[in-house]
Amino acid sequence: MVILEIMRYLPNPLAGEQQHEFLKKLAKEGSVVNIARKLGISRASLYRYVRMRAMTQGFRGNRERRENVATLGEGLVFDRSRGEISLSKPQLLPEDTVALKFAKVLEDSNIDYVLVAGYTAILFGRGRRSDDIDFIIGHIKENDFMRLCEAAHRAGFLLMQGDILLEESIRKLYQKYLAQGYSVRFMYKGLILPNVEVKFARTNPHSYALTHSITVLINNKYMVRISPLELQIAYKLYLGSDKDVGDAIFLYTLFKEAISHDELDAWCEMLRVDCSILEVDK
Amino acid sequence: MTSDVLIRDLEEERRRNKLDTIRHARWEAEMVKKLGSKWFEVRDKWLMEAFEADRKMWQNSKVREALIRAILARDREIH
Repeated sequence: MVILEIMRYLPNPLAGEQQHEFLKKLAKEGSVVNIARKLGISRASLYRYVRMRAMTQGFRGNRERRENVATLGEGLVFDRSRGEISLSKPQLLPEDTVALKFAKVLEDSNIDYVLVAGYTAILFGRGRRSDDIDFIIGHIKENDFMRLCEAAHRAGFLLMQGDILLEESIRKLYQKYLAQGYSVRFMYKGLILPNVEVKFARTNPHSYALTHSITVLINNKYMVRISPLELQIAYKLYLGSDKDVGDAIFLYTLFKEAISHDELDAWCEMLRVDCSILEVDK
Repeated sequence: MTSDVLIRDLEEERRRNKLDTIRHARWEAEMVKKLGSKWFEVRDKWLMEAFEADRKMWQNSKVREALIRAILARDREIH
């Protein structure tokens, strides 16, 4: 929610570029502390936002020049320069609710995260359900995981593999699962499916997705961060099941006017997948 | 029918299924672009119906426990 709060605070209305520059300037002048205090958020959250923007900006500056803002359909706008997608939808599905609630817990806990896999396609209108909402998070220590579980419990989540109210159980989960590279599952208010699957970033694509995440603003009210679409499409092709290929085709068709085709080709080459299937049988 | 013929037929069937999936996914994306919130309304209606049917099933505690066990067993298999 940090972005929304910052937007509300900023002198209005600032265009995307100006807004970004304004935040960078503030960060340089050291007035971030004051802004953070006024917003009632941590300095780390504000810095993280500014840093994320600066990184995305720097990376995108090297890409081919293209239109920065693409309106892809009614209620769907992709602003590449800000790394932001704005989406309007009439209602939230259970998948949306679970994802948004958990994303807020992570945002409030200052934990880097990115949403990956099938949910990203469902978020944008793919007509299927998902059993898991997959979150990749930056590495955190055991005590931070304890705090994350406390916050998650306050927000209505329970652990599937252990007892969220027992410190011993949470520590065991951290050591046996997260620290070993396996995922931990959270259930929201008794919902078994969809549930939240959380694991640490362990591979290069995971780390890349974390540092180059795209912010999705839903109905100008909710916010989640998703993996860069080029990586997401190539990765889905790499997984290769009919369902995954369908997700890749869906995201590609929806965003092809807005994504970087060079970047998509690079990921396809790196993952050794044939991306010609994206245009097959047209 | 020889096994070669059987395999060839199955592969042909798999190829057709994949093409169907591709066409359908592409059509869904076109619908999002064309219809916007109307598409979401239609999609959400039938996804919510599927969700409610699942939820009714979980109200049975035995089904609930079995489902959780199945999810965790699948995780262990993947690990």
